[in-house]
Amino acid sequence: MSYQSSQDPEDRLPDWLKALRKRQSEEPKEEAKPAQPSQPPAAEGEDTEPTWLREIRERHRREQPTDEELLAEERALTDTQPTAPIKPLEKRRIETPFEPIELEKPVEKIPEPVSKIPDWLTLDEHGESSAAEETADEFTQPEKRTPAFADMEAEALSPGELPSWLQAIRPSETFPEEDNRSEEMLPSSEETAGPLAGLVGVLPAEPEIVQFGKPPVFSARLDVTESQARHAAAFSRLVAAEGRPREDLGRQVALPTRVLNWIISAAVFLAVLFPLIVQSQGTPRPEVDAVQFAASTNIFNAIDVLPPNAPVLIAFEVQPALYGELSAPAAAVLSHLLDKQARLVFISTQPTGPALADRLLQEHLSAAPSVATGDYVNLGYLSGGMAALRSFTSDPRTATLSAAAAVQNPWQSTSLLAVGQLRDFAMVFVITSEAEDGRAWIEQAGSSLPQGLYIVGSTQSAPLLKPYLLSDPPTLRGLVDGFGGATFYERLRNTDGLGRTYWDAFSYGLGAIVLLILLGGLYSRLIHLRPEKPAAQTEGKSA
Amino acid sequence: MRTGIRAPVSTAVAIAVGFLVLISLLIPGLEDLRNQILNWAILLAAIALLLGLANLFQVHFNKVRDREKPVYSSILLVAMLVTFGLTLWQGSQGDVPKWIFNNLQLPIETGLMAVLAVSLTIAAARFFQSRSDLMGFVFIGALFIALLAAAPVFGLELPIFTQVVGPIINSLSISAARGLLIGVGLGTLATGLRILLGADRPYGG
Repeated sequence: MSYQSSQDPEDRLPDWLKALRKRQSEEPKEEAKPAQPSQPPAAEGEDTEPTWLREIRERHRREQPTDEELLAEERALTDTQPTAPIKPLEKRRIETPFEPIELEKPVEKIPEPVSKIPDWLTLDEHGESSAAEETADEFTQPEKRTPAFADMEAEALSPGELPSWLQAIRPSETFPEEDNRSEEMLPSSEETAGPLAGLVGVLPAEPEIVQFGKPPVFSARLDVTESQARHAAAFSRLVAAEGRPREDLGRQVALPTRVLNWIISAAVFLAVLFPLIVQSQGTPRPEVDAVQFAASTNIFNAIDVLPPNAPVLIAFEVQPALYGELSAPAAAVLSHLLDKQARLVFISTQPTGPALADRLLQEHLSAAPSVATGDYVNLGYLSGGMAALRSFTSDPRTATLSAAAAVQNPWQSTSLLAVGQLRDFAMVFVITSEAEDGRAWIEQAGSSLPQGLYIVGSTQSAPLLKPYLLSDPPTLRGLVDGFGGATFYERLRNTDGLGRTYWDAFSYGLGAIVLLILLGGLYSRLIHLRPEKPAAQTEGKSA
Repeated sequence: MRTGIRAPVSTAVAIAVGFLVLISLLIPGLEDLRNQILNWAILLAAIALLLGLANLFQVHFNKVRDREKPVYSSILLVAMLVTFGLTLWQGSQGDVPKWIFNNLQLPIETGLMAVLAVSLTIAAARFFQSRSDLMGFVFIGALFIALLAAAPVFGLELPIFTQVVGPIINSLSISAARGLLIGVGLGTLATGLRILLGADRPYGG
């Protein structure tokens, strides 16, 4: 590694050397002559050098590389910086602060006479100036090299004498004169604690690391603005309100609004009740359109070719709230089945399903012989949801049934003697008010039914069930939904049932709702178009 | 009591049973084992219903004991105990349980549905008072078309709605429903996989 210094070499000299050179330059040149006889003491000193030290010196001299080797090494090390000048080897070596110490130790061990004064303490002017010039040349002419232990210089120096370049960098100021380290950190101090107690010159650990004391107390108060505090308080109230039950307080509604609500309610009830009271049947029923009502037509055709005494499974998945709507299409389809002398078997995954099925049969289809004689089977409630449905689909006979059904052992009845699997039923119907129940039956039982699945649903469930009608292969073979489907199915059969009875009420109620929404919308728009009253006038009235 | 072994054991049992049922649907010959597991699930579901009933009883019993609206809770407790006892005694097809269902539960739920219909009508009539922007008009317009296409209005059939607009709305609703069903299917698949892999543990643990 080399560098190019732009400083004057004189500036890099230590202060004591500068002072010495200045003093010498002020002295007369004649005074420098007595320093010449320094060579004889050196020779004497060489003679007094012990054998072991001489051997070391010789060995070191032999191991010292030649100038060519040094130059090659420098080039090899500086090939990555071709433009940088090569630094002289001596200069690089003398920059190492530890090297003089290493060289100084053996010198101290040399037994020298106390009276002898080394030559470096009595340097003459020529020697010093030559050393200074040599140092200056080293900085200004990097290509010129002087090995650290050149033979000539080594021969010129006596044992124990430091060369001039080494003298120039004596570590007189390497360390500050005043040691600012603490007393514990000084090497001479004795360790007083820990496993190293009693040892001298160890790094102190205990006083630095083990410091017991009260930790500093920092202020926990947040520096928030008034707005932030207000928002935080609102958020705290919001979070606290989540844990409290909502109070059931009646909301005070203005009198005009209450009157309007009563008027709307009365209009809807009257529109629905009036056709039922007068038994109106003036509303036209849907036309027999095989395309528009293809799904309903499929059910009609499938039932129409059903052989007598065929077992038909009816999954009655109806909620009580929608029983009124579903009773019309369910009654239409079940009536058709009963006319074909089908043996009806009911089951439900809803707790209220079996009771509603019984009510429907007894309320609207009691005229049928099988219902009047009780010749139908109600398997009851199948608990377990979709898992129970899967189990029932796989093996209907071993599925866990309700207590009533298990006590009577319905599988011993004549309707179910020939049924061992789900596919043994001639038809499987799902009467459902929710699309989810219909979807569960389609997904769990549709694939194991070669004759397909048929659904009687509510109007709200139809949109989610119709995609299954259009699948290929169709997982749903037929669908009758709502009052419209019931009316259409009755028209297919040329009968009047619940669909026909409710059709007029449905039509008038629908018209009343459309009219009320229209009038309500116009009234709301008129309120918005009306210019607002001045605030002062409004406040005066309210006061 | 919570133990450290509870979570790994319940997770391992749930994953193992789930994989077993799934494999039984793909490999023939495992139907009996699958049905046995499903019957256990059905039995557990029935027991869960009883536990729900017991929990409801405990909640309202505590309310009566703490005098926190004790009247309503007392009525509920009496009705629950009477119905439960009579159904146990006569069975679900007994006369008294049938009478309770047909004359109390069914009219109440049907009446609530009727009130809901009237409430929705009032809300739709006052819709523009709270929102009269473009989307409000779109919403009310779609509602009008759907209602007019459902059936004749006031006994008068409007062919343009029942024969022209109706099939269009039908196609739109089917398209929307298909997208919804595909989303439901993907969500169900993802949920099933997460449960099988133990990422979701709805059974606790």
